[in-house]
Amino acid sequence: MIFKNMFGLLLTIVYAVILYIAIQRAEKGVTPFIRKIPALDAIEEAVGRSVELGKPTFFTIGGASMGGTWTGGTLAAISMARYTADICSRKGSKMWTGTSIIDQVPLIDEAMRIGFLEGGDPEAYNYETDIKWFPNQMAYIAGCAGLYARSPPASQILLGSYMAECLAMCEVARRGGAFLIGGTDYRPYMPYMIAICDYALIGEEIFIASAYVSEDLALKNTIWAEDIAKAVMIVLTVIGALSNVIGFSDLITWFGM
Amino acid sequence: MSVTFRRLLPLYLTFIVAVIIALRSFVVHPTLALLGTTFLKWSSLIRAITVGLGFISILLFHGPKLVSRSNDPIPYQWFYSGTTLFGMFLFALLGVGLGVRSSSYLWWYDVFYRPVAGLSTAVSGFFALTAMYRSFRIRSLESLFLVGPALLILLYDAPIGTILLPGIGPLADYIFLYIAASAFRGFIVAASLGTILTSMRTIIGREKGYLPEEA
Amino acid sequence: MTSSSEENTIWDKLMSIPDNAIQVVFLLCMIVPLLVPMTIPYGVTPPTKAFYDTINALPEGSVVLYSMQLIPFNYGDCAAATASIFNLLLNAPNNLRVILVFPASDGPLMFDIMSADYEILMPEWRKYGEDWVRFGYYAGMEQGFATLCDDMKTIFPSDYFDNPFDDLPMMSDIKSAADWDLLIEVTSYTAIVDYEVRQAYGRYGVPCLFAPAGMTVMSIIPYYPHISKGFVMGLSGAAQLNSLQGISGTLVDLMGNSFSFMTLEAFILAILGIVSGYMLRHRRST
Repeated sequence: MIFKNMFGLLLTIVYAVILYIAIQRAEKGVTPFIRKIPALDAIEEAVGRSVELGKPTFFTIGGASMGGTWTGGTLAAISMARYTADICSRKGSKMWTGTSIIDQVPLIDEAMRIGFLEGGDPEAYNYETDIKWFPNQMAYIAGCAGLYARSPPASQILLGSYMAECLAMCEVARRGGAFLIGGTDYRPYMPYMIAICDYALIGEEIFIASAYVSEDLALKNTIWAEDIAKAVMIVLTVIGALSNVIGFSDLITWFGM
Repeated sequence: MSVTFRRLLPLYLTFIVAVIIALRSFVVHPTLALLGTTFLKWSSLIRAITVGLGFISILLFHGPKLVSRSNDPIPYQWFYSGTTLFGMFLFALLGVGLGVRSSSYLWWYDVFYRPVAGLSTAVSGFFALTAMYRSFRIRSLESLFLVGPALLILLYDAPIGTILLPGIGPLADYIFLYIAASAFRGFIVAASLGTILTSMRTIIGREKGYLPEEA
Repeated sequence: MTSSSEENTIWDKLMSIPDNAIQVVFLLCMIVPLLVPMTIPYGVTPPTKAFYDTINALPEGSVVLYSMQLIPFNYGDCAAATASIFNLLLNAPNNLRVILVFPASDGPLMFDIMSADYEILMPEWRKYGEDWVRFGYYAGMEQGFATLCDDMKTIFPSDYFDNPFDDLPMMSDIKSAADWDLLIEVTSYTAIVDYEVRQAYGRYGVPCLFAPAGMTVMSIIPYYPHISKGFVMGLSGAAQLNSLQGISGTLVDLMGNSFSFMTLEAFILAILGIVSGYMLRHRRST
């Protein structure tokens, strides 16, 4: 039996300890401080705009399949869909949800039902007409373009793991005069969201936003645990950089062992 | 099978399989390697089977729309559903019958599918251009720092760019190496930490999103 | 509200160019260089030069795993890079042994289409099975690639032409990622780059070189230059790579010319937009 990558194992153990502490905090009812993301206020503004103009709010979820690397972003987006449905229900706005992944549809249905129920107007949600599913990425773009040609929404919220479809969808929505809020955790397409949308959630702000609106203490404390883990990484990075500068490169070798 | 067993068994399986695969990164042992490879093979097989599930999903979605001549959600939806099903069965039958390397399959793929698939990406290029024309505005010092490097990289990307402005290569390299790389490395670290912690929660059974709803 | 006389300056006109006009000019910049062959000089960027040098610096007979995520959506960018890099691998003076794999199900088919569209310069001395091998598509993304790294025969019991793995002379001493000397990936999907770094570089220390599609180049920047010593940026990089190899007059060069014109047009448009916006704001503030 040969052991390798011991520093990686040590880091894994450290993160496991941090997670354990976070779970204990959640069980004790500790609510960590999470700063409010400006885009969350913008969602209320977007729904308000839809109500004023008498047009729907369109919430679209990124086209990443469930069960892969991008499941986290998708689940965060679905959580935000529930939050948006709550707001739409309270303010009296019609809400559509769009996706290109069939696996997401049952989860979106549940989120919408619960959101409208919590907002006080469960009758306002109709599964048959309010969830729009498109077979693939490019059909998603074409479908959204068609929607804007026929009955344009007043606001569009694009959250999740958006990939190649995000640029075209954002531009189509912008040309349709929609108020845009966007966020993707897929790195190459973050700049497009930031450039085109009125409000953007950058990278992991999607997860923070979904934790903020969620009542799940475990989720909120996981965000806390991530911040602690990031602090550990920052300290290690600074130590590594300084040791490299002063010429003590053995430390880098130990990190990589 | 009791509800408890239905919910506990997947949790135990998840824990055992995940720990074995994770341990492979730290311990070199033939049994561990064999088990890890076997689990990964099963996982690849499951992913391949989902292609078949996708086939059934499309059939179940579009079939009723074609049969009932549905115009919901868009006018002539039944025609588009019919086209989808036609394409799906065409490629399935050609592929199974003649093989994916046959000239007929290749011809249909090149004529029917490739132009449509490529079109959507091509259209994105035009959208990107108009989006860029609208969003490249310098209204403040901060936007100057945003737009300046963007223009630089735009010119750098063209094969003729480094001929027109010879100093652009090292400058763009500097932007890539020290500015862009550091920002994106931060993103990678943050996203990876989130993935690690979420995965740990899944392994220890705290994240149960993949399990069926309790009765 | 401005008066009608103030709305006729050149800056107002520039700011109100209709989108369709912009797109028509863009289309012309795209089509004309494709129809009218012209010799446009290419500069070579440092990452492309590093990519080229890394391949040529490999020891004689090194094993290169060449993975291509060719799909119709990224064909324009990635096919050119695929052809250019493949030509480089086949004709490098260090007699590299090349293994082709595809992480996308469309990949093998798109490779055949790419071979028909672009010129592949196969040297006469290259013998299939002895110094280059083509496998097919591996399912399962990261799980499939991890298994490929551990045991290639498990994923590919036979090659793309149904020759059994053990019957391929080249594969007699290449069983896993431990036997690879370099991994090259042509892709437009970040996740592939990430998992290849995790599996091939992280677990086996295999050096990597990436050729991302132009719009996803930022996905590999974090790995440059420590993990990927260089990179080829889509169509532009392919044209530069061709110029380094002394290949000219091919489809890649035509497309490179077109790309140069399109990028220059976009650059000029951006400058005009910035200047017009500034002049209008300056006029309104005074």
